[in-house]
Amino acid sequence: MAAGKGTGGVLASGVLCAAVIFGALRWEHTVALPVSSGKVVNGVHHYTVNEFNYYYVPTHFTWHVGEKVQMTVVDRSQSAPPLPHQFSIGRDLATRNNGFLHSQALAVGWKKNFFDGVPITAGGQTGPIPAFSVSLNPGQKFTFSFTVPNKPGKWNYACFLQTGQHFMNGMRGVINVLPAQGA
Amino acid sequence: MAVEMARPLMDPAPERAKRGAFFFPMMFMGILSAAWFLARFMWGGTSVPKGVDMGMGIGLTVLMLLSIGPMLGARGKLNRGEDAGAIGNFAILMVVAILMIAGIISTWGAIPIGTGYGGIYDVTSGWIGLYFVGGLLGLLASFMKGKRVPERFRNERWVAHNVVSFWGELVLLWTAFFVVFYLL
Amino acid sequence: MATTGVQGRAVEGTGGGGEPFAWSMVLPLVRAGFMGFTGYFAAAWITAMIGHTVIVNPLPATVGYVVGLLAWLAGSGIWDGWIRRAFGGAEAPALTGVERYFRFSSDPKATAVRYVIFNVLAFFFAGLAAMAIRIELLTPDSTKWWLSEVHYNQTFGIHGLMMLLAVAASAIVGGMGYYLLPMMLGARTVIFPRLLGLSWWLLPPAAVAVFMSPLIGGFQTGWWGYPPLAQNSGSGIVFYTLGAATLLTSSLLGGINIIGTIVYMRAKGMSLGRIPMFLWGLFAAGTILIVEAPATFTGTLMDLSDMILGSHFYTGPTGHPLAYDDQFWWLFHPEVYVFVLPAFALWLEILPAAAQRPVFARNWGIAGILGITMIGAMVGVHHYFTAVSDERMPIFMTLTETISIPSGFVFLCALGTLWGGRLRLTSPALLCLMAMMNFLIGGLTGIFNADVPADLQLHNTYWVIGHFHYTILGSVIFSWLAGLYWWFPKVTGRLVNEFWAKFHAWWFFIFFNMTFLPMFILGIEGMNRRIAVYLPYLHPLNEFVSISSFFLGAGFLIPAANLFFSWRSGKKAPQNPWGSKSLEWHSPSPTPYIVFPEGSEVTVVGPNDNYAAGAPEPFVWAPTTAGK
Repeated sequence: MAAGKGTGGVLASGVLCAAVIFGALRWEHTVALPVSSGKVVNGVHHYTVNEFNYYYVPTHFTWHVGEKVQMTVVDRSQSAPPLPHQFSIGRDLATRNNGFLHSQALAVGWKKNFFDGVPITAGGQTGPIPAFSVSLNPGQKFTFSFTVPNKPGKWNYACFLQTGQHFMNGMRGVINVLPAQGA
Repeated sequence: MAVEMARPLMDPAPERAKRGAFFFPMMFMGILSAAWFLARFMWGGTSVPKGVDMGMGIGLTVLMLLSIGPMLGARGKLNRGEDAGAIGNFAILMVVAILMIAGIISTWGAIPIGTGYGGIYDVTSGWIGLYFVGGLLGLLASFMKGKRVPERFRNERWVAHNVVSFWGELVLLWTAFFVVFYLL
Repeated sequence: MATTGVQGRAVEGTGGGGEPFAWSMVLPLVRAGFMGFTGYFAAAWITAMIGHTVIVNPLPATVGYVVGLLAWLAGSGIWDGWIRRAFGGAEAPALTGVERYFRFSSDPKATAVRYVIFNVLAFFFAGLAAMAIRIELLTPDSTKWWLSEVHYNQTFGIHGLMMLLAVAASAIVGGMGYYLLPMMLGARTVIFPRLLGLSWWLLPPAAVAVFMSPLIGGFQTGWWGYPPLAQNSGSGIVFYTLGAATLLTSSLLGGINIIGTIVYMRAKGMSLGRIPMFLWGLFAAGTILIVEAPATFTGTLMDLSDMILGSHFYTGPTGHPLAYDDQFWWLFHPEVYVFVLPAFALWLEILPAAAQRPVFARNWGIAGILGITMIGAMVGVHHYFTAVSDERMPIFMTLTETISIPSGFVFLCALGTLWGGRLRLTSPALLCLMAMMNFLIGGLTGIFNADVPADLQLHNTYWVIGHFHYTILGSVIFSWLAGLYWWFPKVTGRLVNEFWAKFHAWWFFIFFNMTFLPMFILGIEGMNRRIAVYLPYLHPLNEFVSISSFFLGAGFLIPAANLFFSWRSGKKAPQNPWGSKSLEWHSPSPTPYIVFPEGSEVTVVGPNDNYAAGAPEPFVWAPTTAGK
């Protein structure tokens, strides 16, 4: 093969390769996995959280106290058979001792639930739901709205199904609740 | 040029070796198929479920058995050096291969894949279908080589011989498939 | 050794293309990479769009992998080199120079060199994974500051699968075997050279997919891929199944070539008893692959089918999860003999030449290798101890323990060869002896695994980890290095630096044993394998193991540097630096493109190890007789 021959073709294939990778990833993040990061429609902040085995997309949110939020949770479990998943916001793990070190104790829930006393709007009804969390079967989607309560600080969300195995496998994320904007 | 001289030196396996050694990949493909066939008894239950496409199964088997004719014809012509005639037989076998692939696809889903029999039927027939795709490509390669460069076809007649041998294995495998999946 | 006039004669064109290396020669490799990634992302994207799903799901990942693999192959030069001419198109370009190393080539020597490069890279990255594992185990719970449990699972899964299928499976068989297979037989190439060329090109996509699997969710199952955990894992499991299937296919294409070449392309006079020991080892490996691989190969595809097609082989109402274990171990226990039999055979090739003594009880050695092949086919059953009824255990135990008898033949042959010989303790011979020592420990501890009462206690503990690292790392990788040093002059025409080779051999031996010997104690003390977090009483010993392993891992930079600098500027090697009688040393070093000169052929009059005083030269060259 003569030197230099074919360089153009390889360059072209490199450009094509970069374009396809860029396009595919862009499509994945905008069309297939819409993680609308707080798009405001009529004063309501819209968020989507996707549940996979065993991780969330995205894993981080920032809210302000007093904001109206509409949250959509989608179970996109990709296994066969697909698995149910949970979305629960809170603080301080409730654990069950299994003989291992503290960090390996079975995590079964939160001690403090973020939504305690917070009215939740879902399916046309509004009202506080004790220990509110979203548990979905594979392929299901659930949308609910609320106003961010005055509980600033770091909050976590996680899935505790299968006696906390999903949590141990990394199914968790962080919500940063900031004081009201302009306050 | 030295390079032209080099080619026969670097590929010195005689025809007998090339044809004989081809039975090792064929043996592997046979053992692999045997693994699939045996899996039918693990997952497919003890009897053939109602709803299998028996007509298509019998039809494809008869087609394969009939293809022994052109296959043996091709072998004889290759042995006698009648390359052009052998290429004609290859065309017939290519048509058979296409019909077989279409037939296999048409039997999918007769039994739902989620059941034991349906799962092993679909996967096994899909695998055999891949063999047919391979056979089709081999036939096509030999066919085109024979049409375009008869010289090379003659020098490398072992390729055509191996394609014919492979077709023989396909006949055997499909017949065994029919027996295992439709009769037992 | 004798050099006849025929070998000394220079043949025009045998040295290959005289063109010096130019960067443009690498372009086919680059093009193949671009096309592979393009194919993967385009196909996965389209599949995801059609199926209204996301790219990281199993089905788009599978379709993407298959298309990407085909696109990679298409870019590799397989079109010019094989497909086009097979369909009656233009003749393939004759690649005799440097460019054949960077594109699809039917030259087994170029393929073998590519194997070595690939194995070294895979060993490096999988070795980094091992280092990550040992960092995790430095403290009882490192999940807060190092890998989380899920990442730890992915790490040891990738480490295991890559070390076994991308390093051990092809290190000796691929790197040394495919290079020497035709030369030791007196042939100029293998029987299906293009299939052999193809076998290498299947490796990189599989390795890249497995290493990248965490990007689509990873797999949590370790290198076993057991369902139903596999099905409950992330999408990375499809890269596991596809990668394993591709690597197996690659091994098989090599195995077919090994057997076909040995059966059909021996030089005149090379009866079965005169086949070099190393080729017997390769023959055994190829046989195991052809006979045993189907069960495991189908298992990986059925696992994949459960993930993407909706069948229920291993899950759901009609699923049999344990069937996967049976299928898996049907090959993957014998697979360790695919790794280790060429290593055994390598000792019996190197030690006689180093000691200038014929192989002791040569035919018993061959019987040992073939005996392991046959008994090894049934040894997989000992992985089912915990899943079968008590009555079967004695049968399984007996079958498994029988394997030590033919293994003993090989050891006794090696020891008998050394007995009374004047061993030149060069670095390859030293590494062989170290490999034998390590395999002795690995083999003796294996008896406890085969022994049901002991195994019920020891299985799934660090005892097992220690055992198989002694056999694979301690034996196969030591032998791999021995072979690399031994045949380095053959491939490059230069000698490796003997001081650094020996220095590293001792470094490797000491830190290897410091790393893995304590694992037996850890296992007896109750440390389970595959856990990111362990109980604090195991901490001191784990700390010792981890620190030793860092020295062990860092030590591999020595042979890497040694091989590289020796290749660039090592001492020029004579044609036969070790005084070996084997046939491969009859051609000049480095090996010319055409191994043996045109117009001459070899007649074999004895095995290649007849070093006894007064024994005739085993290979006689004569001009080719007319009509041949």
